Amino acid sequence: MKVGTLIIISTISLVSISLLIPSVLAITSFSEEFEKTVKSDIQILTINALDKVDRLMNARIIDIQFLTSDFNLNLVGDHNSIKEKIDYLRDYEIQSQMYTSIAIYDVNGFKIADTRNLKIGSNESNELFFIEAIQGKIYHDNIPIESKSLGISIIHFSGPMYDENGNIVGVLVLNFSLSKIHDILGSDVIYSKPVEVHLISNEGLIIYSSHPHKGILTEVTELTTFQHFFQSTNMQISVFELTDEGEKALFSAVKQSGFQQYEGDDWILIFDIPSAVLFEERDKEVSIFMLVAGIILFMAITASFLIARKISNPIKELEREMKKVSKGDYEINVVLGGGTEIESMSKSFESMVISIKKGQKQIQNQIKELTKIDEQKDEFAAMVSHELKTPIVPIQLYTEMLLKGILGSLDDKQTKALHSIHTNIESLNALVDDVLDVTKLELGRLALDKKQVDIKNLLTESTESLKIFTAETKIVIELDLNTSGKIFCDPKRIKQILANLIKNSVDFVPKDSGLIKVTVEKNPKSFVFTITDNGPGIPVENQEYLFQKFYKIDTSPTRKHGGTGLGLTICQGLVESHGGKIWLDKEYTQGTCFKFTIPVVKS
Amino acid sequence: MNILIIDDNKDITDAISLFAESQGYSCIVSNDGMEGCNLAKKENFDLILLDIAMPEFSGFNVLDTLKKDSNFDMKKIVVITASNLDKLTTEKIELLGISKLVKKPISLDLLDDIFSQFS
Repeated sequence: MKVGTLIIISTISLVSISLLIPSVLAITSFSEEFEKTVKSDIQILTINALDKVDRLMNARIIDIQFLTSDFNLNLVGDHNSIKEKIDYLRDYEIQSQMYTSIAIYDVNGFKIADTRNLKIGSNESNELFFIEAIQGKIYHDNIPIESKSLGISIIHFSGPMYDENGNIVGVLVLNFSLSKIHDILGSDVIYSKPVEVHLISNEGLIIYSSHPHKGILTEVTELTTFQHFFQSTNMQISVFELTDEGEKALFSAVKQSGFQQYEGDDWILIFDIPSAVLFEERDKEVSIFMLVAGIILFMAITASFLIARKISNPIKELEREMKKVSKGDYEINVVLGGGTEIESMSKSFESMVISIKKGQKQIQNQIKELTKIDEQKDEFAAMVSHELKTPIVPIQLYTEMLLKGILGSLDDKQTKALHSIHTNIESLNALVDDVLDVTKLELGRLALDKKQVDIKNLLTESTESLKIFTAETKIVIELDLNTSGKIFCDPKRIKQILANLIKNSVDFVPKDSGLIKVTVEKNPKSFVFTITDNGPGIPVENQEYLFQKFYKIDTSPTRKHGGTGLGLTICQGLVESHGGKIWLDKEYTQGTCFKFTIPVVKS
Repeated sequence: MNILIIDDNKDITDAISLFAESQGYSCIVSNDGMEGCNLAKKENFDLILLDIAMPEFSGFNVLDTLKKDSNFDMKKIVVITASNLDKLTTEKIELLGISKLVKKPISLDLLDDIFSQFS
């Protein structure tokens, strides 16, 4: 796969992820909206259901008002006998189908008539329904009462009975069966979901509950929560989400507000629906969305991760191998697959490294060869010097013996010839030494034997050995011994430098008035040696080539000055191997002036 | 004074012995390392002039052999060489306890100095 393709895939992944964000926001708002709607639907249902209860209660109040009113001649006065009155009430009871029985009490609380003929003559003057009604009020129980005689829970509705003159002569009691309320709340298909309905009194007793285990007129703690809530606020309706029996549930509660004649008894109607059921639809949609989003996210992340790895791993590997190469390890191992550009890059890198390896091997071989050649050169120089010096020994010894007369006396011509031989042998010796030095300097094989030496001693010893060259002349070698201290150098080589420079001067200054000065100054960084003479100086055109090998100013066959032409080259090499510099001071006009430096080494 | 000269080059030994005898010293010459070494051990010389670069049995071999003989006085030896010995080799030779190491070419003055030092 190409890197481009990989980038496209990761871009798509990125876009997918970013699209998820508005989708999540949308689903959240949908979810909230859904919840709001569901809650308000439930609230309306609860209000409607309670309204039905209120209307039912209102109708019972209207019943008792109607039956006890002074224009209801069926019951007022003595137009009708008790029997006729009961017959009338029995008809009324049958018509309305709301009451288990209707009873009439006298002013003393004795039951004098009953539509069911139950407990006639019993005294119920202590009952609230009697006490309230005998005082002329329309009364009803605000909590159901369990009727012992009927064996069911009922609500008493009572009112006073009058004679023609408007005097209270008794009490009329309608026994309203609680089952009528149960019929309203239970028979209704309240909601398309399984809903539990509870009606509780203002004292927290259950008036009705669809829950089979919650008995009538028992107290249920969890439901009294609502009762406490409504008692502490002025609210009439409320929606709670509570955890009921380990399950989250939505509770919609409405407090009675009454209807027309019925003022309400602060009863509370509660709908209890498990949240899971209520929000099943929404939860299903949300979870489908979440699943899809999760899959997209997972795929995007996985794709990104794989792509990142696909790109970064080979790059990392390549980098590691590149580091190896940069450290000089050419044994690289780039194993790649996948066909990306990185792979072809790695292949190019590999072949590059192979080329470098080849090139390096060639260079190494060349270096080896060159080193070998250098060694051969070195060996050759050593061999030549040995082989040249060996025959010189007897020549020199015999020449000297002849000159000293050990081998008999010589005439002037013979002596002169031997002198010439002797001088040339010495030149030859010097040449052999110089060639060997130059070779070693060029190959960098000249070992310096450095030590701390006294600068004054060094200068004195240097010029002492040169006295033989000026012995037969009036040339003066002047030493400036004002600088003292120690210099870190190879004294033999410094002496050689000074000797070469001084011998050059000796060759050029006038034999009768030659003056060669050697001075040393010490500055913070180096010792500066200056060698001046009062000779003819070096012509400008020759100055440039002074330090070249075998360079001689006078190359004519008739030249006056000897030397190998290696002296200055050797001087330069020796000064430089000490870390110093040598040069001709071109501004000096009274002769020749060479300067060289030897660094001060802090030990 | 008895001098032993060991050098494979006959011209050199001839020249040195000629000069030594002219100065009144008695000289024995050997042009072979092994032979010179045996002579050095056998007879009591006052001075031995020894070359280094010799075929088969070199000056190093001579020095090593003589050094092993605890009765032999290494101070009697003066090494004369045409080889350009490096610092290490020079130090190694000097550590064997020889009198001195001189480089070829040699002059009569140098030989004279050496002779007078040992006589």
